[in-house]
Amino acid sequence: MIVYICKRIIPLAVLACLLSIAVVLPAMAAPRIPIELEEVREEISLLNLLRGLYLSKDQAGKILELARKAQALRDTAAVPFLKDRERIVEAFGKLRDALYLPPGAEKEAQEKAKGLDHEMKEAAGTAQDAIVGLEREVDAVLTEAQACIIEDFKPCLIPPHDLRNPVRVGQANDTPNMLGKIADLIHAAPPAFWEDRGGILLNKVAGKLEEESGAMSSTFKGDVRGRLNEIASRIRATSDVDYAVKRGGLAQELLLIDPRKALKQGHQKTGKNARWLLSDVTVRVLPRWIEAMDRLSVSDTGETAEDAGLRLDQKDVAARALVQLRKMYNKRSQSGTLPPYETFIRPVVDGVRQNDQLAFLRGVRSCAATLLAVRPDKDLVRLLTQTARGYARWLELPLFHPVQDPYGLAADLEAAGREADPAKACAGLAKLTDLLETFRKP
Amino acid sequence: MDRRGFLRGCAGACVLAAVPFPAARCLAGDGLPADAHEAEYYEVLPDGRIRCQLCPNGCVRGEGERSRCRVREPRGGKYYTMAYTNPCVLAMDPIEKCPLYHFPIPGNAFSIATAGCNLNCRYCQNWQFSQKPPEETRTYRLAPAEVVAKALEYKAGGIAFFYTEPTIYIEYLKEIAREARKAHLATVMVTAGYIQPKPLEDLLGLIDAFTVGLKGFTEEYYRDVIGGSLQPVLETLKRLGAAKKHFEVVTLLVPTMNDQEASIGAEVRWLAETLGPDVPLHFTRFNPQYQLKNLPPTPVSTLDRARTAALKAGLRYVYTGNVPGHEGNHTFCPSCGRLLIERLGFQTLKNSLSDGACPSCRTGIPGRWDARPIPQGGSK
Repeated sequence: MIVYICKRIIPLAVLACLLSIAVVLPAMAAPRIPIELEEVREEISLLNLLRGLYLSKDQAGKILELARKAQALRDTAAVPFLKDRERIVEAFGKLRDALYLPPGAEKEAQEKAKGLDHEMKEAAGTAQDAIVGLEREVDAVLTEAQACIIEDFKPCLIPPHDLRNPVRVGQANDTPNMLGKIADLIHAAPPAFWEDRGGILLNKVAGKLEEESGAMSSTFKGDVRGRLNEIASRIRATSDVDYAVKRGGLAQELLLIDPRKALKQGHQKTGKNARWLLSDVTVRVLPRWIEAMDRLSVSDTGETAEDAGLRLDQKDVAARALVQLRKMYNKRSQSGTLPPYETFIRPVVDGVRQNDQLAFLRGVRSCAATLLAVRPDKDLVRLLTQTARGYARWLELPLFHPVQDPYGLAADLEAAGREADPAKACAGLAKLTDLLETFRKP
Repeated sequence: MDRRGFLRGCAGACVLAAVPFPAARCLAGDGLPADAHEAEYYEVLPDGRIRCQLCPNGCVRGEGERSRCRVREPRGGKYYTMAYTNPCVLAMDPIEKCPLYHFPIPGNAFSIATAGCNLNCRYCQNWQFSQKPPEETRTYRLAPAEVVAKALEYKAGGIAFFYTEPTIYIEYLKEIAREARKAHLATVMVTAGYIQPKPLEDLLGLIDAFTVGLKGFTEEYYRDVIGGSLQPVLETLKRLGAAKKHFEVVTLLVPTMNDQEASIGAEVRWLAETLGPDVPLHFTRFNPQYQLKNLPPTPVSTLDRARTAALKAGLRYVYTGNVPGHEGNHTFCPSCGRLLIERLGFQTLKNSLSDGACPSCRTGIPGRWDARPIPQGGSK
């Protein structure tokens, strides 16, 4: 909270000085970054966000007005402390000095500093409550999809390529946000797999909720976990058709706690809309952005239509896979146990001819099984690893996401890659690809 | 094998994960996909090929060749649609998203779309499924009666055929619309109007309201950016006007492509003179999509200029879309200027109409304002 106040609510020199005790420790642990650079970074992040938000001029104007109000609230909250600056610094200084003395001498200074600290937090909290009100007004200005973009946005120097556009007239709301993807993972998992690993995913969701809303007691955590279980059961019981219609709502239910409504010190917390659109940086950046809107020309957008052409050509990829399988087949052909090449490769070729990704993957899987019966090796481990990834891609689920790793499958895949014995690695991977076949495609 | 070929071969399975093949296609015993359904609107040519009579593309296809819209193909001397009972999008949407501003329905619309489209707009915002055949998208098997049952289950006020061009799945659409009529649900078709007169005629009795995308006003634009032609769309608009159906027109303004003053001027004059001043017209803002990511979003000033030109040409209800909070989202009384319907994005915040008229000067506002379930037998 202290760091929070320092950074967000009363970002004034006097408070930075008062609260230096709290910030010294992390500052010592991390390399020093000049404050100017941090400010520029923040501006860059905000500009990246604005580029993806496609605010109308009208929206941008309204948000700027709200950001100015928020800035005024923060400044007003700081006024009494600026006036009392010397008294506050003195009180905190006394406490610091008392801590050099034998225990017991600090009591009085502690009481005084605590009282002042409480007053500052109260003032900051009151300002924050008002800013929460402004944040609701920002919510009303934004479209639902713009709000989703802000919710998912992370500070960055280079924005993610898929920074989505707001939903527009006639546009299907098809791209799920993070919660939508979690709901997809819950809905797609086959029953036995869910029994076995569903808990991993739900624990990650609970962990994320705790991260967003602050530490939970074990009882509360248990309650959250129970509610997540209940929602997950409902998602899993939903038919494919109903899931298509209700996905957004069901996904939203996973967000059991609205971090903005969580209470700390009796005051409300602001959310990401305030973080990005009601900050001092917004007040600085938005006027220039609005001015730039009128000057934006065709050549200003950077991205070119040619980008799409860089993607892999389907047939080319399939051809390469066929070459690789031929190579692996040739390496084992001396064994005399392999079927003729045409028979061996037919399932893959059929998949390619039918333009059917699943049949193609199944074909590769069956070829791998044939090759495995002769001799497992590192090439086969790689082939099965990529086949497993191919299944995840076909399912359009982030099953092997290296960071989120929702079901711990990425760790399994990595372990298989590290396994010294190719036979063991192949057996594990073959089992994994069989499992992936049983997932429901969202 | 050359060096390049060898290296490509070695890359081999490492790129398997990126193979973007389509989903499995179930084949029935006779080689026809299980979801194939005999199409309407076609003729068999003397050489055995089939000419599609659904849209102005007029595809002529031989055995097993897919039409331009990606959902129809000849098999064994008959023409089949692969989109019947095969939607790929199901959603609940506000009617304003169509956009239909003069046709409120109780609650949201149950939106449905299949894969495929008979046009190829270079800015398509639903290209992930409009530019693919059903086999390459995730689809849900849903019979017409089941679609209506779902709409009722979700308490929808109507069914919107939306997102891709509904014309291409006309057989499915008509069946759903018949079922919807029995259930007193409104039916709405969001279309590019690229359809032959006969199928359009058949739809007039089944669809309660249309949103027609008049995508530009030059043949060059239609040829180069849309992959079609303008004239058939104008014919569709005239027929809808003559049939006295409720319809609204939407034009997406794409910077440097169709935002020229002359083109907008010609469009608004044609609309006012041919269809009358009461046709609601929506100018919507383009955002970089699909093959036109190199263009910037439409400046709001361009939308404002277009709206001013349309009002000047005599059109009374001209809206600005994809700019939430813009004055052009609202409906104003053309006589006294009073703000009648206040909107934000796809939400109607306040509707001050009284019996479909301005409460101040009693000017009637065209549209269907009662938002009651559709009476059996028609909406008018």
